[in-house]
Amino acid sequence: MSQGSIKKTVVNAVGDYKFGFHSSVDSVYTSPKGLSREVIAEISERKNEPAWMREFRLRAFDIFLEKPMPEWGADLSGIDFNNIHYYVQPQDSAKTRWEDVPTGIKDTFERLGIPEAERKFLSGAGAQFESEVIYHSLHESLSKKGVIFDSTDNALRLYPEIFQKYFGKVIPPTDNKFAALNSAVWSGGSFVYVPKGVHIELPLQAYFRINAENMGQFERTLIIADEGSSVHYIEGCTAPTYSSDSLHSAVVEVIALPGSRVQYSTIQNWSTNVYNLVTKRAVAYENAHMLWLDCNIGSKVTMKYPAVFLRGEGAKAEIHSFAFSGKGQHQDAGAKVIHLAPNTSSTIHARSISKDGGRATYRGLVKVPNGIKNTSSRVVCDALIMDSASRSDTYPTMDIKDDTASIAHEASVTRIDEATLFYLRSRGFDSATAAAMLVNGFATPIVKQLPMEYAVEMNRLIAIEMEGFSQ
Amino acid sequence: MDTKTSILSVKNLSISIQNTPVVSGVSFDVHEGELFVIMGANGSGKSSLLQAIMGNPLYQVTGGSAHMGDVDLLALTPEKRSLAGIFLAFQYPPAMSGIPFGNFIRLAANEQQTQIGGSPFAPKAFFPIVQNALKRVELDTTFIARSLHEGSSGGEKKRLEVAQMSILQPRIALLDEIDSGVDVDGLRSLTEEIARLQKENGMTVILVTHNTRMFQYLTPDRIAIMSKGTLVKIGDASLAKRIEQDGYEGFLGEPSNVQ
Repeated sequence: MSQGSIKKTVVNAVGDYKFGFHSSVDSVYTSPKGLSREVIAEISERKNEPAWMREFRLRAFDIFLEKPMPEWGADLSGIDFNNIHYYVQPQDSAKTRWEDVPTGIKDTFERLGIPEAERKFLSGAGAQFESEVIYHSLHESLSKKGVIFDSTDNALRLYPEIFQKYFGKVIPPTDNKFAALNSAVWSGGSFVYVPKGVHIELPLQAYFRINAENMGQFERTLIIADEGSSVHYIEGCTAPTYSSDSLHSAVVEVIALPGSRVQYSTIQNWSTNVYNLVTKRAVAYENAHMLWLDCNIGSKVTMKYPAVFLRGEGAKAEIHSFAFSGKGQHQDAGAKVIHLAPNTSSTIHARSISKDGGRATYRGLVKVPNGIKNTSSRVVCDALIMDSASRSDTYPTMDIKDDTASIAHEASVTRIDEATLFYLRSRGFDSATAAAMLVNGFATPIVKQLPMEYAVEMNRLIAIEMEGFSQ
Repeated sequence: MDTKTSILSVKNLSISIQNTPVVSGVSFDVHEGELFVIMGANGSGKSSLLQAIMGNPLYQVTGGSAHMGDVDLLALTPEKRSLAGIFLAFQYPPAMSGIPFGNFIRLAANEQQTQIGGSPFAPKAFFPIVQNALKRVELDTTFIARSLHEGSSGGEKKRLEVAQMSILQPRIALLDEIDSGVDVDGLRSLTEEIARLQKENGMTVILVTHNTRMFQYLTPDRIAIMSKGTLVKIGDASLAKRIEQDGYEGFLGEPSNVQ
């Protein structure tokens, strides 16, 4: 299976997508629709990049052209690569104070509650609008300790040594067609470096906003947690609801060095006209602990399978995913863990809900090559199907070549139970409220791992999706 | 009987489950503040009657009526019946996975608040209310954070049902086999709580059971006996003695005193 992780296509399922507004913002530069060597050269030129990055992009473009579209997973036939703007530059440079961000863009993020969240419970915040990070900031105490939290573009310029050492090493352009596409046209994303032994208590958050129509967003995130450090990175994303489709195709690489702990949490809430095809992969070294917490509510089509390569003895992977598929949506999500060292362990817990004809697919892989001793893995997939028009599929691949491995797999499919619904109604809750309570209850084991503010928001998003539900 | 106020009037009620009749032509009136007990062998239609009065869509009413005062209950959704003051303690309450009891019951209380135009309870203000209700049914406060009915024993579930009743303070409580699976100490605290709500709030109780164990603690005003989907007898508390001696079979031979 290729590592295609496609994340976001949303269909406007329930009308009440409160992030569907469009802001009127003039961009500094918009590349013409379609993709060519000229477009890529122009992006590299405008970013004033070193020659090696320009070469990297052009090589990746060749790989993109060579690779066929994936023949498995969700239906991607609606993507028209010639009808997309691959680079939209909204302002001249990234700002470190909200006051300096142009009004139209700042207002957008105010409406999304980002500056407020930063003040209240974050160590640092970044915001990407179209193709560029327009704002980033890090708490002073952390920058003094040597923590780096910047846009990936800035990092290429400011920290060339560490950048080049890790960039594209976890997910090379050859990995899959969309990783190749991202490698060719990437722009924005976060660069995080946490020095040895530094623990970042409050999360770092990046927020991604697509505003323009027929826009492709291709951010590139690189997180390096040095030995014995810890960090929790959260990303959120939304877009206006348009009648034509947009494409979001990110690449996220995480390097968890020995003894570090990284949690990467996603609340994906693209509008239902976004194809979300994302590749996410972490490498965990000795005794490192990597946790992907992946919540997919929005998008038209999402293909995304966060992966962990356990390269060091004692390393641990946890992947928890939650997917909600409403009308016209297909969430094809899952997880991959490759055990490449002895005494490594992994846990995958996926929960999905499908409603109003929505489709949820769990696609996962656990691999233990021969000779890798004493590994353990537990995979649990639970699906909740709200009505007979909706669908859930599970494709759990277990490729276990060593007989010392301890492997457990459980799967369950439940339908919304009339007896349970009636119990709630007998306590005064109407059908929609009762269903939202059950669905939120179902999501709880995953969602409770988010910081409280986000868990509350997730519960609210789920309740919105359940509006109008009746039996 | 006519001097008392009827709070629930059931007339000629017939009920089917998936087109199979389970209750046929049952009529009775329950008076305000009364403890009305419905007894009968397993499968006699007692639970079906309570489920239909609460409005379970799986129990299809094929004829007759049920009124609470002037209110036509059958025209209301289950949630509206609840908000009108009817409470059903389930014989087999389902587990509410991922829904902590404290949240669940606070949100239910807030549905009532919304109904009467009151302001909703904040979690902090509501905590002592839940704590107190759990104390009355002799459950510890760890149940507040636990998913309702998930992993609870049969007896704990019954206590949690009664705790909900304490908080929601219904006008009419339909209690389905509230004694089954409950130990002696539990039975005492649950019956005490039922009696307290009757005394302090004038709560009306329709209690379904198939044995007389609860009557050590609660004295029924009247007992109705069901058999094969019909009501065969209504009498005073002394009927309990006859049931203990003769079982339900003893009533089948004699003429019914109900229409």
